[in-house]
Amino acid sequence: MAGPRKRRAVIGAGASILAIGSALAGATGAAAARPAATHSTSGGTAYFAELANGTPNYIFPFMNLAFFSVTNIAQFQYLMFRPLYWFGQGTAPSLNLSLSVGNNPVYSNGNTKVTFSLKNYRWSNGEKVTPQDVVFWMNLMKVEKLNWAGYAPGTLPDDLKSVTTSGDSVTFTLSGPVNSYWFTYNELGQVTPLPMAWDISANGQKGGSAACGTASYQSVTVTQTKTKGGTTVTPVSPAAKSCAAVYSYMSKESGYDPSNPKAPNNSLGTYATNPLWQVVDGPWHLTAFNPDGQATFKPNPSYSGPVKAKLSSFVELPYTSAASEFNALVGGKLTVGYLPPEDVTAQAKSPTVPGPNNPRLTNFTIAPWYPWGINYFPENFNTSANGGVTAKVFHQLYFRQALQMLVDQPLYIKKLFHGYAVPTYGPVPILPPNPFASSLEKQNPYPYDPAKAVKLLASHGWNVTPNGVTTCSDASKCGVPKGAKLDFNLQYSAPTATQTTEMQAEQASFAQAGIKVNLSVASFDTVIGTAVPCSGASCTWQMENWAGGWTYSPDYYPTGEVLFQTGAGSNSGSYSDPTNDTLIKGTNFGKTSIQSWENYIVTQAPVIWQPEEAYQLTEVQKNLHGVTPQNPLMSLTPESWYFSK
Amino acid sequence: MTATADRPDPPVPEDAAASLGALPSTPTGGEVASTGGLARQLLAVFLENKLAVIGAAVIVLMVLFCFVGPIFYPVNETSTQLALLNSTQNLPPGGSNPLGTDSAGFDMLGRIMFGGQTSLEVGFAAAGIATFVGVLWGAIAGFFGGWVDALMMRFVDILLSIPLLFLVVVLAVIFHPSLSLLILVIGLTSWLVPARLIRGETLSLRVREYVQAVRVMGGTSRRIVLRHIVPNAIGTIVVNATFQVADAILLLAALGFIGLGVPAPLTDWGSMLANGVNYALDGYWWEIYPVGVAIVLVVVSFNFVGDALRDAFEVRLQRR
Repeated sequence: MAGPRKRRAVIGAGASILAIGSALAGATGAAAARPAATHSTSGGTAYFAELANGTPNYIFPFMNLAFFSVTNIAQFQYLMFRPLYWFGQGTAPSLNLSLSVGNNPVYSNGNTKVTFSLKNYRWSNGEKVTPQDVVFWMNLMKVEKLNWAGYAPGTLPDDLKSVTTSGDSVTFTLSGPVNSYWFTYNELGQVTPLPMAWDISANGQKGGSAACGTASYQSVTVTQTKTKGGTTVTPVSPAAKSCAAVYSYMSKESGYDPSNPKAPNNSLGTYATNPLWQVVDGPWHLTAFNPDGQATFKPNPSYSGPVKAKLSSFVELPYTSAASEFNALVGGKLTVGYLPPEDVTAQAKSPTVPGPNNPRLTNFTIAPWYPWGINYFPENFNTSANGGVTAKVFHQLYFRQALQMLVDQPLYIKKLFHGYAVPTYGPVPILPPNPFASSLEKQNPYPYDPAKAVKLLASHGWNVTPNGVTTCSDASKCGVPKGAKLDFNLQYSAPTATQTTEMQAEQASFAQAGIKVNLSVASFDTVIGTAVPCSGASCTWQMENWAGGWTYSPDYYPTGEVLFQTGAGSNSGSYSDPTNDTLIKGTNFGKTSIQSWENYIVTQAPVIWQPEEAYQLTEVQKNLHGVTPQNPLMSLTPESWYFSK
Repeated sequence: MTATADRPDPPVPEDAAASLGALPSTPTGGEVASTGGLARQLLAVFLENKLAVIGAAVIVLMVLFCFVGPIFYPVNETSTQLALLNSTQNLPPGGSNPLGTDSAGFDMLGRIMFGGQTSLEVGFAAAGIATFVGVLWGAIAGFFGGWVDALMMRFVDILLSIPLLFLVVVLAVIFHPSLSLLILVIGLTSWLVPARLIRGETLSLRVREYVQAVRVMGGTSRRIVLRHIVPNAIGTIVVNATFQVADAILLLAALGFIGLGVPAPLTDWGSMLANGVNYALDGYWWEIYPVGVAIVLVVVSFNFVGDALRDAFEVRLQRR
């Protein structure tokens, strides 16, 4: 089972989208088979296990990287607040128009104009979901793009000229032609319509009174300044200032104070009682929320979407460890849980075909759940640790290559994950089978080879001391000062015992080349809160592993601008490479193939790739149906679930 | 009371004073039965306690097992990578793995030896620190009395009101555990009880004649505390130190169990136990019981030894 995951992605439309979408859907058609016909019943409560130490802790859909997790978005917010476009058909990560609020986008004027209409969705306060609700999101994004984890320089909203509405339609006019598939998947896919009830900047205000949501996109003006410390965006027009105030207020209501980012979230206890969060357009609304992460949902009686909930309630339960979750599962306390990898008793037949279930779970069916994602952990290229020497080491390509040669992915897949994993050798997911993953990535340019890693370091002027600490003996070859040590701190999240074992195995493997890695454990929320882009003296983290890698959502087309482009909101380690930036731009706005960028990034090893294990080995109580196929973007759709007699 | 002490006193010859000038090689009236040295008397009392003897033997054996055992039973104890590569995980006892293997493929017997090294090192070192700090603190407070005593002991009371495990967990989280840090943290949070005991002992010792004599002769407070009070409280100190070792091992086990033990590739018995508990429902008993038994054996043994030492040092408790 993987840890909770960070996420993000986007989509595009047109002929190319349909072609690729069909390819993906075809590749996973078997897995998308309908459940067997049963006598369904209405009502009942389904109890779903949250991943250990990965509980929802943010409810406002506009958030920065510290909260940008599957747990918060796909398995919490989406139940209440529907995104403009829904992704995932069966197990394929493709656009699902039937579950989307928006209709298929239409591109025109040489792919410089995008128009889409909205379906007839309603907010639970009776208001219609309108094109202006989309503009509300875009207005916020324009002013607060640096606080949106999905932002990458040059992409939304930077590539927008205007946003206009007409009737039920929204039109985006772009500053230049785009790859329509990319734009739909990775740009429109980020948008979530926001209710006018949230257009307030103080307690007691009437919805819309802050005049951010009601403003036109053109009336929101900002200035952007580049400084040594990064980019700043300053609101200029009254509407822009209103948007900044709305963002600040809504973030605080959700528990994040932009003026005091390190302050603890004291709003968790109000999630179910704050009237703001009761204005929903999704199939569920929150009726109880405990700060420890326990969330109870009831069907939204005024839900206007396509699939109405059959369950009478849906409960997400938190666990502090996978072992305690397994105990609950065995004890019959869960309807949908997961089998921790350490409790797998038989090897998988293949990553997607499970072996026999754990004999203690006779009342459950096992279903591996794979994300449209990759697994890795970042090094911080901006870390100030050791006077900046550590960052200089990370900047050395040969060092990153050596580090990658010490990660024995096939061994971990076989011995630790019992076959329920696939390797990650690059930025494009391997599962489900797709036309994007290149042969170079699949072949792995840096296979496990400790001897080669040692040789590589030695040839670059390092005095390699296996099981000790390797030091630089020749600065001209090392690229770092003489005497620099390969001694690093790595904080990781350990939702399962297997994760701990994997980290200890990697630590021991790195030690073979005298790369000393000091491990420490923290919760998932702590790790993702630490592993954010930073600079300056306070930027001290070196390596962070939240044990979940990345699910391409809402950047559903894995072109990497969100993860690897210079200055991107989710570029945790502040990786920066002009060639990489040019290739990404060419993929998104020109005719560069995704494989050109992919092959380049594979050789650059900007992060340390790790096995992409199943997000979880889902265990479904046998009288519950509709849980499979599981969404590859990790979204939960309990409105499709029902009990049989 | 020892058997030697029960013997009747030898008769004193009437002409003893006269014969002082030429002492015979053997006393008149036969051999003087030796009462032995203090150490011998203590040993004799200690040996009377069979459980303590067994405890001491177990401690010695466990120290040999953990520190000398790996010489005769060399296995991979630290590299998870090699364990995964070369071993089968979760193997039951048998064949080349007398106690089976754990979830990473480590040989459990070798791993218990390795984890035991950490547990015993932390136990002894933390007990040493706690005893040293506690003795000094208690002796100074008790000797000076007055506001110094009040101030120092209220500080102890405040710290004692905080649950020890909570205090240690907070410190371990803040500073990220390492072996030396854990020793310091456990040692510096365990000195409160010895401080109280020694303070009480000092209150009674400071009014003794020999202490008064040193004062009259101009001895400094430092000399009195270090040369007269502390040595005379050695019984209390040694006994308490023994219990401190057991407590430190237990505390480390508790920390390891909640994931705050020593960092990898080191391990300790508590961390091993925590790992084993993950598999409790899978029937891998060999990952739980042997290490659990090791903890219990060592802790109980130290407690037995501590009990016997208390008997040996405290005459009133002998022959209970």
